[in-house]
Amino acid sequence: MNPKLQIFLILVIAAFFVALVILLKKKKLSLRYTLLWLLADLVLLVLAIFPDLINWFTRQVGIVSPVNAVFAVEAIFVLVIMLSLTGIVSQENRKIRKLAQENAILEKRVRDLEKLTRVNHGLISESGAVREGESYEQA
Amino acid sequence: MKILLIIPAYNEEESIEKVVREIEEKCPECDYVVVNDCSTDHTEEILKQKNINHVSLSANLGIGGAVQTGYKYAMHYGYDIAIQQDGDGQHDPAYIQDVIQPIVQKEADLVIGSRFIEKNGFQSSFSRRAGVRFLCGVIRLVCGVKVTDCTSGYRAAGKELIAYFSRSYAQDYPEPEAIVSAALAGFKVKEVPVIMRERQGGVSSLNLMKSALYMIKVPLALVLRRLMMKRIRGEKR
Repeated sequence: MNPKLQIFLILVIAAFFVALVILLKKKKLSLRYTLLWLLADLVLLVLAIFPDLINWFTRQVGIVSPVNAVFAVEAIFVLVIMLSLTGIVSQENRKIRKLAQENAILEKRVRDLEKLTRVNHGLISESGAVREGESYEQA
Repeated sequence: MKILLIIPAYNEEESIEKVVREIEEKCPECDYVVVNDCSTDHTEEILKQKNINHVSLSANLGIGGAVQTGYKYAMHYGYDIAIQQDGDGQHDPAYIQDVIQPIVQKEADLVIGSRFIEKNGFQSSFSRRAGVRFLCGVIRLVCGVKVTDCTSGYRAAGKELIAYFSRSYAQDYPEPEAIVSAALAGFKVKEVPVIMRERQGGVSSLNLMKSALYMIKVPLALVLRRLMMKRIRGEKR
C-alpha cells in the first residue's frame, strides 16, 4: 500500500474515532449502538497500520489492488451496521406499538373513572359537593 | 357470554356513527369498542360528542395495530368472543349471530365471514377477486386451511384466540396473515357466508401501487410465517 494512502487512512480513522468519542461523551450516541462503529474503526486502524495484513487479505480473496480490499472491508462493516440498524428500528417499532396500545386502553379507563367519580359525587354529596361549589363561587 | 365488537376506524367521520347505531339497533346484547387509529379528520370529536365507546391510539399504528388494541381491550375486560368489523359500513351486523355460532358451539376458534361462499351482495372488482383467490391458494399451501375470502375483515375469535391475538398479531395488512398464524398455532378456522355492502364513506386503503405491493408482501409474509412457526396439530399453542 502507498504510504501516502496509509497516512491518509490513519488520519481519517483517527478523526472518526474522535468524533465517536465526542458524541458518546455528549450522550448523543448510546454506547450500546456504537460498539459496532468502534469495532469497525479498530479493525480499519489495524489494517492501516499494518498494510501487510491487507496485502495478505488481497491475495487470499483474489482482489487485484489492496486499496479495493480496504474498500471491501469498509463496505462489509457498513452492511453489518445497516442490518443491525434495521433490527433496532424493528424492535423500537414493536415497543412503540405496545406502548401506544396500552396507553390507549389506560386512557379509556381513566376517562371512565373520571366519569364515575363525577356521578358518585353527584349522588353522594347533596351537602359536600354543593357546599364546595358555593365556596368556589364565594372565592 | 360477553361479546365485544371491535371496530377499527381511521378517518371514518362520515360513516362511524351510522355503523355504531346500526350495531346498537341490530345487536343490543353486544358491547362494542371503536379503535380510533389516530385519525386526522373529525372522527375523534364525533366519538366524544356522540358518546360512542372508544379507545384512541396516540400514534397511527395501521389496521393490524388497531385491531390488536381491540383484542387487548377484549382481554382486559374478559370478553368471551371478539368480533372484528370494519368502520366503513361494509359489514352488516345482522350476521353477527352467524359468525359467532361456530364459536359458541365450539366448532371453531376463528370464524371468517365470507362473501364468496354464496356469492351474494357486493362482490368487489374482478382484479380484487383474483388477488383474493391467489392469496387463498397460498394460505392453503402454507397451512392447509381452505378459505374463500381471506382478506375479509369480518371475523370472530374465541376466548383463547383473543389471548393469542392480544399477544401476537400480524401488522400492516394483517387479515390473511392472521389466518395463517392462528391455524399454525393450532386454532380451528371456519368460514361462514355473509353478504357485504359497498363502503358507505371514506376511501379504501388500497390503490393500484399499494395493491401490487400487497400481492408481493403478503405471500412473502405468509411463507415466512410458515417457516417461523412449527405447526401444532390438534392442540392449541
